[in-house]
Amino acid sequence: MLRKVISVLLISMLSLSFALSGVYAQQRKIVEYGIVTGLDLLNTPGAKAWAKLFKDFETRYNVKIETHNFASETFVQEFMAARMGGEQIDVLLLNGQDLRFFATSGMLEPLKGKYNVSDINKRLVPFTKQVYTIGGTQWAVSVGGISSSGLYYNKTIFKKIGVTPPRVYKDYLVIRDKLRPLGIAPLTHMGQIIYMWPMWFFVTYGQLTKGKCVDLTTETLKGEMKFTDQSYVQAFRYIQQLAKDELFIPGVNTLNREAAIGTFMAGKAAMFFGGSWEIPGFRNNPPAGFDPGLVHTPKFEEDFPYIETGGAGNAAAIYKDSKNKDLALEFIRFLSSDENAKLLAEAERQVMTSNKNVPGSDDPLATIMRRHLPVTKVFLDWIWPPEVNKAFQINLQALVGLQTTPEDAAKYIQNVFDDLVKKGYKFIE
Amino acid sequence: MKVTATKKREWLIAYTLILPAFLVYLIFRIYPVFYGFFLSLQDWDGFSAMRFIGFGNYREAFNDKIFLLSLGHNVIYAIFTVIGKNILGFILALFLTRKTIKLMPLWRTIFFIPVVVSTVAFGIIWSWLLNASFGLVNEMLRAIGLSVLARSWLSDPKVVLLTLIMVDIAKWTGYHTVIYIAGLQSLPSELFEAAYIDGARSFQVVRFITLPLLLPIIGINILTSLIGGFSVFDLVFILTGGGPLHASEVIMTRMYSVAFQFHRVGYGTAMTFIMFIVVFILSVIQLRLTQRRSYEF
Repeated sequence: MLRKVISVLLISMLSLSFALSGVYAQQRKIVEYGIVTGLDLLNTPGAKAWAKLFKDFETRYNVKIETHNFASETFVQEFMAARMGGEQIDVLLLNGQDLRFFATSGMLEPLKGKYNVSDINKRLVPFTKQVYTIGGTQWAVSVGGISSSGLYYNKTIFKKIGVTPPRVYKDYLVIRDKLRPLGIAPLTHMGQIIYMWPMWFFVTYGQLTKGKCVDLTTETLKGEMKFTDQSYVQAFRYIQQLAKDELFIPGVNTLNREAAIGTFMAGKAAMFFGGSWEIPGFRNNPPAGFDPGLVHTPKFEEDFPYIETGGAGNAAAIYKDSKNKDLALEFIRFLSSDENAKLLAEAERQVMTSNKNVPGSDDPLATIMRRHLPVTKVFLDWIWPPEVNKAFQINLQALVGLQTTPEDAAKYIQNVFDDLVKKGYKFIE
Repeated sequence: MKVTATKKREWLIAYTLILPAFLVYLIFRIYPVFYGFFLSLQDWDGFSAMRFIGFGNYREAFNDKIFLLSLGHNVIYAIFTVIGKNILGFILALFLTRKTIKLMPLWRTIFFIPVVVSTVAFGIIWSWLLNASFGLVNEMLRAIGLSVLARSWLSDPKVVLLTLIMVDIAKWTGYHTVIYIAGLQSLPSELFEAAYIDGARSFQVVRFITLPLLLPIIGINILTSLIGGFSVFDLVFILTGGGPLHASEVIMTRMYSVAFQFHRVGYGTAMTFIMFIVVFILSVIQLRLTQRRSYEF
């Protein structure tokens, strides 16, 4: 029998890599490329599930899956090389952040007409379709876990100093003062990894705009607002205040992922703001006495709402030059099925899956995190163009390093955006 | 002069033997350079159709403040790493060629180890050593009463570039040491013996005999460290990513952002060509200078 060959280009997305394992650095180092089944995914908690899933599809459809697995940050150049090298690509599993670029660059098959996915959409959380619809066209289907954020805290330390987790900003200061004699920093963060700084902005701006952060971002990118507007500057002020009040661990901008998680788990810092993808990492060989709790990210002002940030799973899309588009669609359908979504959810301890028929992990932290989902706003860097994203990243890092002012940061970002517009950037809603 | 049949056959064999290597060089070295130049003249995101814009990318680069800042950092980086690696490498080579030193192979291995360690691993180790809160460097400074010097080495814009230069020197000095050792060992011992018999002191021997004779080796070391200084990417990328706020941005990190994060492959390629021209000019000047002053023995 003729064996069709389907090539699946797998990308270790930020969300995926974080969600899967908390071994992000390991993934970053191992960049596999080639017609291999030795995926990065095979080194993660969800590895066996992914392997089984591919095997099942191969058996069921009598096909052979070839996977090319890249780290998120090197994906574009690796994809470029694969494409120029004439590699067969049928399915793209993208970081949601990359979807906009791929869709607007004409790399994806629109999911309409012959490739209508309304049957798949019925089993997905509606919000995910909205995120992957650009310019009125759906370009991808969400697979995997939906993420959210929150403030993790070390219950043992909090018990020791006799305080409850922070609810509003001023609580941070009380905790800081009680921690100081113990030589424990209030907050740790992977400050060296600049693409993690915008997480703070998403939540802060979300609170400040009372949850309208996505709409206002869209307006800004359409030119109806400016990054120098007061709301942006004020959000920067709040974030810089964290540094001015010495809430971050000293040298926060030199901490990579391992160091940040390490300082939190080792009790050198009492709190850690992060996403649901951190949960499996906290459960994997925790040091004795480490008992993390989770609360909403504290509000900067009493009258602000709680806002969290997260992503709508990974984007499964059909590559526009695929020679097996029907089969590619079938793979996506297979991937998002209740049965397979459940398989992955369990293996990856997903807080909540994009498939609404599949319950999330029963981990106590995951249960708390699920309560954050109603106030979760999509990562704004899924909407920002990459230049603006980078401008935010470096300026937020510099704000915390007290190397720039909120006003200058805002100006810098607006200048980058103005330059983009001059070169022809136009936002597609 | 008449070329004999034997000679012709020898040439044929020689060229035939060279051909495979030449083809590999042509395909993997020469072709990418020309294709790269072609790309630098295009407006291309890596996926869509290319658009020819002539020298537009080059013009943009010279008006791009961050690019110019990065170029400036590269110049500083190259100057200090060239000086640091060569002075230290030369001194170490002098030390490691002394016959009175015991366990010589061990010493040579110790100094060469950083060269063979992967840059990524080396960078990660140093990021921990230099960590502001628990890094060994700050801990040591505090332990010896110099806590005033302890700082965020990788996130303080005032010292970040200097820190990267130090780490680069620590990584590559061993490589230059080995080349200097090879050079020193090839020098004729009679000259040194004669100098010592004439009453020359060690410093005079180094100044008036060793250094002049080593000029071609110095030239090679300067050239390789110069190229390294301008093309540095991995260490900077791992340790600071070019930050904070471009304080350690170099051309290669900027090129990486532009080409692979902003999807402007043509512009990124133009940046590397500008750097290539700068390095080429400096290399020619440097080679001319060292060739002119070389001594034969």
